Amino acid sequence: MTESETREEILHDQAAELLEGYALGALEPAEAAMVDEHLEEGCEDCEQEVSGLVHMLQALPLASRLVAPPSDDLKVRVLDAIQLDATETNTSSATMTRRDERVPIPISSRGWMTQRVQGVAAAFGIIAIGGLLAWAIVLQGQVNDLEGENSALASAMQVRPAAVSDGGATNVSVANALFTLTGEQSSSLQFISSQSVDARARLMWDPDEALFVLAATGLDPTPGSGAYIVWVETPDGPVQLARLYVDQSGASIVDGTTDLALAQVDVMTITHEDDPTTSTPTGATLLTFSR
Amino acid sequence: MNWTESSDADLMSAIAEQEVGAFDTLYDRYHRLVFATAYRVLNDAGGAEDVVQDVYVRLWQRPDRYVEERGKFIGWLLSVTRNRAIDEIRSRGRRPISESQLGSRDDTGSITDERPSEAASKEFAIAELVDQREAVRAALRELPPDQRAAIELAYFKGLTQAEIAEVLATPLGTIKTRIRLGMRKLRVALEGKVGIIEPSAPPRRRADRGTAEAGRSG
Repeated sequence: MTESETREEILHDQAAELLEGYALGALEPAEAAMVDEHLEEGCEDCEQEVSGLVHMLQALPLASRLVAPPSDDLKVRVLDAIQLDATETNTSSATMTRRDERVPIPISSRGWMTQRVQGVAAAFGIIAIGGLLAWAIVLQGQVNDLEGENSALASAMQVRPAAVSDGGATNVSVANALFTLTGEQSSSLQFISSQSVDARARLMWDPDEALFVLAATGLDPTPGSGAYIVWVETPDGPVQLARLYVDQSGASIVDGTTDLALAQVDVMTITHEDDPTTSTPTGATLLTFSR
Repeated sequence: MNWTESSDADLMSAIAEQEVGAFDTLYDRYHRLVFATAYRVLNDAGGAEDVVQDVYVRLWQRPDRYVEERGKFIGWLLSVTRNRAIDEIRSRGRRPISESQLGSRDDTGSITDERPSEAASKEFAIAELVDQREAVRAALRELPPDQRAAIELAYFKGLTQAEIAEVLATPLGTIKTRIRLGMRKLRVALEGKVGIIEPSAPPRRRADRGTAEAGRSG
């Protein structure tokens, strides 16, 4: 009996050392089996500990960065899927009625274009999407100055470093990325790009915060592959707002500051520095930013 | 009926009655966080959208999988999302993580200053979550970077401790220590933050074999 208790105590001590990894699901199979065995023996202390750790871990996703929102058609897909499911699994008339009462699908981004872009402080961030480098450009406006009489805030840009994944991106070349904001419901914006394989941009506008988030994917993250220039069209012509590039060490760099009154900006363009055909922004003639 | 003011738990009850309007509201409320969580794991917008769809469809089909007594709905939902996304990673076959993802720039990028996200947070309309999100971020910020990286690689990338040791070229014992210390610090930092951690309910009798993450949808 004493011997058995000792064995259990040893097992307890060993298991207790593993509980953090266990809660994370990060143990090797043999280790996990040992903890399982210990828990099955009814160790309440360890069970309590695991439970607490698991609950704590549930909070971690809350800290995830809110990347550009999923595409608008995702909700349509989801609602279609569940209503298809309802028909398949339930043939009652009540269900059919509910199908008829299918709720209208709000387009979450509807209306973002009805707001003006106000004077601005600019912050730049970088996110990586699907192995490609992406830039999230955030222009924060002043909501209380709708006429934007050059009330823009001159502020240093904040650069948030983020991961640059190199998976399969070497063959991607995006020569030119233009962002156009033309329609009130135009929320999923495509790059105008000659060589892009998978480039696209998304735009999110929060009218209440006057916050404008632009995420472009498909830029070439290969170190030393050259820089991208973010231009804005102003009444005085194109102005270089920032220069984005990946240096030889793989670090993402954003250069530039602005004291522009971005309320005056009609068009924003990203070009590749080395592309002779897009050495200056052409967006102004091709695309308009209605406001 | 307008569900927008309803609690998560009430919405889930209504969803159990196949109320599409309640589902619609719950989708709007959290889809961006669900997407962000899946994206965090997969680093791929298309794959993350598939996970969002999967999570919500399962939620519609099996709302009973959420048990209110076990904790907050959002914690459960994001945990299910994370698990589903990890499954997806594994089904794809684990790809090596690039050095750039592991270097001095941590893979999370997400924990630091995040004004744009907070501004967008009203999209899911739960003001309470802004504080909770900031509390979690603050707790993570306070961790030594090595500890945080180890925990996040395990939780968000589904790596085992041994795999983390390998990709970081660090002794396994060191990784284990970082995870233990980091998890303890996190727990201390997050305990008492109202609504984030609610271990009040009796724990499950035992964790699922090998993968103890709560809310695993199976």
